[in-house]
Amino acid sequence: MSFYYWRTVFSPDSVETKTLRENAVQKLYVRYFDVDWPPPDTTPAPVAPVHFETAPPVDTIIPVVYFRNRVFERLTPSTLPGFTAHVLALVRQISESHRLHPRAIQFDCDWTQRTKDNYFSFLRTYRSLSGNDVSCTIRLHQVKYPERTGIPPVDHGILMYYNMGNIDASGGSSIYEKNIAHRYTPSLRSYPLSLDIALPVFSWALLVRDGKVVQLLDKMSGNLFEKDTAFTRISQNWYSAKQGCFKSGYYFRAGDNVKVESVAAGDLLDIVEDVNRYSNHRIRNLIFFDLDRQNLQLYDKDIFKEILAHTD
Amino acid sequence: MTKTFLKKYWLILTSAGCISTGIVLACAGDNGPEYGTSNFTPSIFVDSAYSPFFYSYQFYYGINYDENHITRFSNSNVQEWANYLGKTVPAEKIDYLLNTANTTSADSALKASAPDNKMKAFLEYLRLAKKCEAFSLTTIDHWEVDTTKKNRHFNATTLNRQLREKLTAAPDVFVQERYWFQLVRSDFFNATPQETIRIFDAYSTKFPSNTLWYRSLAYKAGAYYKLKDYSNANYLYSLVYAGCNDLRTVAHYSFHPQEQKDWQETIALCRNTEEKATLWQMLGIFYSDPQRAIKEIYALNPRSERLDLLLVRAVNRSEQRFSAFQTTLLSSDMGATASDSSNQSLRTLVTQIAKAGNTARPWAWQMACGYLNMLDKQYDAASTWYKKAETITPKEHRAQAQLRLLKLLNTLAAARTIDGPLEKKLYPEIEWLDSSQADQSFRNDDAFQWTRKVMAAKYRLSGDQVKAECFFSSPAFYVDNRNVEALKTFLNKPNKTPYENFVCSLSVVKQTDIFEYQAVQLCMNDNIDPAITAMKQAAPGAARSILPGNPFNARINDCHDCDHEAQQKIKYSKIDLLYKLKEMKDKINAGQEVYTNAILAGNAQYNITYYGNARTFYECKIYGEGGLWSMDSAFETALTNMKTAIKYYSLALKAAQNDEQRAKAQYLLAKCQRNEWYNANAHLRDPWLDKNGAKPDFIAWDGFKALKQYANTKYYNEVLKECGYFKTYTAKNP
Repeated sequence: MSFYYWRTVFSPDSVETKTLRENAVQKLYVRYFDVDWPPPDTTPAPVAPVHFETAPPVDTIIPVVYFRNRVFERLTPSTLPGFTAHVLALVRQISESHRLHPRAIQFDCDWTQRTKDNYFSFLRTYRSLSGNDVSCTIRLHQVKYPERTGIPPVDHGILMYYNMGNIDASGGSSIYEKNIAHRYTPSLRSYPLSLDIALPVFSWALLVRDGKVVQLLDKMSGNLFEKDTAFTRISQNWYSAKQGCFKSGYYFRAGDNVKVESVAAGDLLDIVEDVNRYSNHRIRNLIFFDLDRQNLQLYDKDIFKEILAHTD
Repeated sequence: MTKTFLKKYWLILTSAGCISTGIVLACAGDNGPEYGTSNFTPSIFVDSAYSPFFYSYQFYYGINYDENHITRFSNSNVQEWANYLGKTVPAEKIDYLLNTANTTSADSALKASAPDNKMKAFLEYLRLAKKCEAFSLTTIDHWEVDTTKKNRHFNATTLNRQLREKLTAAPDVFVQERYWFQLVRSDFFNATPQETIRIFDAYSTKFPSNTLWYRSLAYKAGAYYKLKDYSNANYLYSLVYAGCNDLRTVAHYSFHPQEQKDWQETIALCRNTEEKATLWQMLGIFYSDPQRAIKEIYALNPRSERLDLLLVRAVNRSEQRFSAFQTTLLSSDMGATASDSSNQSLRTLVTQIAKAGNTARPWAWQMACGYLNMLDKQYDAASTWYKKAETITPKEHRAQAQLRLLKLLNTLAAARTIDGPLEKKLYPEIEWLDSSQADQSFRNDDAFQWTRKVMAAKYRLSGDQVKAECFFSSPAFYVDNRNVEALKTFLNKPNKTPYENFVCSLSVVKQTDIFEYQAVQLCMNDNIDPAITAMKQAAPGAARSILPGNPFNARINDCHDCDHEAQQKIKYSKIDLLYKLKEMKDKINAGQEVYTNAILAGNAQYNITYYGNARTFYECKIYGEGGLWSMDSAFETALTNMKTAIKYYSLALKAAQNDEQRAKAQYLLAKCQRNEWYNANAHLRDPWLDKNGAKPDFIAWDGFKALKQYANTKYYNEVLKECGYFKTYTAKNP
């Protein structure tokens, strides 16, 4: 099994490194940078490249680069090669400046029918320029509709088994809902790429004001609100701010509601069982999103071993 | 390439879904003004030094993102040095030395001249200051790894020592302050936060609280932030925000309380109510809680100037609903309805404060109160508040204009219908609003557009269609010719009252436009003589405008562009077309060359419809221009009607003397039948709908069926060559 590391400053703390050790994790998938291309800009640009403050506590680091889909909407066949070269150069720079020599890379992009050609062309070009093992994330809708979104030209894929629902004030969780997942999992049977699976072990909260989501509260779990006297709990995963207050850098108005979403340990076991069943046990590796103390404290420390055991 | 001036340590973006809050960031211009819909002008109530914080879709009002880090102080810096050095040194030279020259040039300037003491001090300072640019003006190429992070530091040991020496030995306070600033900044970038704070504190009382002092203070705040001492950091940022115009946006951007605890500690650091009020204002603006901020500041000091910005922001946000105010004028829309909770609580709060009347600008609160009441359909209450405001609003142009505008909106909003007395009351106000459109000093566009729309709607409710049309034109009005004549009569009326004159002047449709429209309609209905009479009264430019293609030409395959580009020996204007049609009609009536003239007249009648090459014939003020979908659906039937073309082609068919002629007439009729089919199945004409919809291969028009019998003609073979649908038809129906 392995983990994603998604913070801008690479500096795993003692809890995080302990988890890696206890689970004999040898590989970490580290976000190197995002790429975005907001409308007023004339070129795409990297966002918040990672900075390694400590040496990695594992043998292998695999860089991950996240692309917003709109980047590939605006690239053209003539600008694509230059862009690919930029990405490769920056990946190399980051690796070299921290004395890392990864031989593989993972790309994360929720591509669409429209951007399929550009994205796949990018993947091919990158692979031939770098000589790296190239993998990319696959989302459930891409598994179900490969005739529309295509099958990426990569060595293997990572099935992103989360963020399947809408981020809204409705009842379900936007991270994982069994009945939503079940709309897609049967398609795993016939999906031709070999897949790792990325599992969610994070939680977040939605700030809801007048019935609308106005802010995503990253990494905030129910515990934080449960213990805070400025909030009352109104139902199982809903809290309400009694008065205006600051919390974790966010501001809450009196009367704002908070919907906490997380993934229960039981759900994680369910996921693995489902995926195994539908894919005929073809899942290669588990990667947990993401390695962060705030996530780890939501679970029993043996959960990862338990999940791994469930893959057999 | 961007250059950063201050390091943004607080900007941590993660890709695991960071959704930005509340305000939609859109470019101004394409989507209307950056403040959306507004009748309440902030700059009337709030000093322009705070204008970046006016309510806007952009990040900062009038600015969007503030990326001015490199050049923010260039001008003021030159100015300050110019004042110090005196008139003998030209400003351009100072500007060059400060902003353009590099270290070498500065060095040689020092060696070369034998300057006076001040000049010497300046040049010596320049040498060190230019060295500091290495870390303070870093160019960052996005695609390069940021090499100024902790481990790749600029080694400032020597530089800092030199700065310290110069600082202690500086000849005067002016130069000393500058060395101090450079040292504070260098410590911030290159040394420890603690050192930054220490050096700031050691000298801060020696210097006046000028811009340079605040720039240094901002670095001290940043140092606290690095130490994660948010209480102190945010407190200092609030001092910068309050004290330094140039750094207000920067302080805002950096201000970021984390937990209740540090926020409360920040408040506790305040030395007086003004500092507390600043913090509450910052919270109210940046964290979208103006009502709480207003309450807190009001409790501290009802006369605080900081209240007005919060009030105006809250009103500007609340008034976005004005764009939907009374837009559907059913009688139910006029009554009061429950408004949403935050609008409700805002009105309650503003009412309470307006009643107390103890703010710095009580008239602002009274106006706001009136306006919020109007938006909640409490017209009488609004009126009362405006009366109160009248007595104390300053006799300044914009404040008076603001009140006058709000009163007009309320008077009109409260009325159900328009009668004589109301006309009398509104006339001077609307005329004033119309003439104020050129006055950019207060917001009045939305008010004027709304006034026009609502006057029109309420006139319609009162039964006066003509005045309604003058205030706000709507295409459906022109479908009924009685309306058209009534409008013509009104525009033409002699001895109009001043109000009637004014209303006429508002009408975008003029007499000449009406005549042109009627001419087109008459022509399409084959009333050529009256059409000519009407067209002669249209604007000469319109009547004489040239049609782009030959309107008497018909093709087997319609191709407007081909017709437009083809060589034309004779070009026809609109009036020429009418004269020619008259000629043809006369010949037909006299039995001369009936077939030819009927075909040509039929072609012309075909071409002046939507389907033909002479759409410009009907493009006019009333019909509009630019394709069927940019025209009102009210006109669709008229502009796609084939009946007159069919009439003439049928005439031609009857008068045909041989099969070639009959074949041609039948085919041209088939085209008209096809167009009628499209009219009846409009959704298939629109390419955006139903792309994959089932369109038949062909339809057996009557014309096709009839054409089959002329298989021996030349024309038949031409059609076979050019019309795939006919080919398919013949193949399937041998």
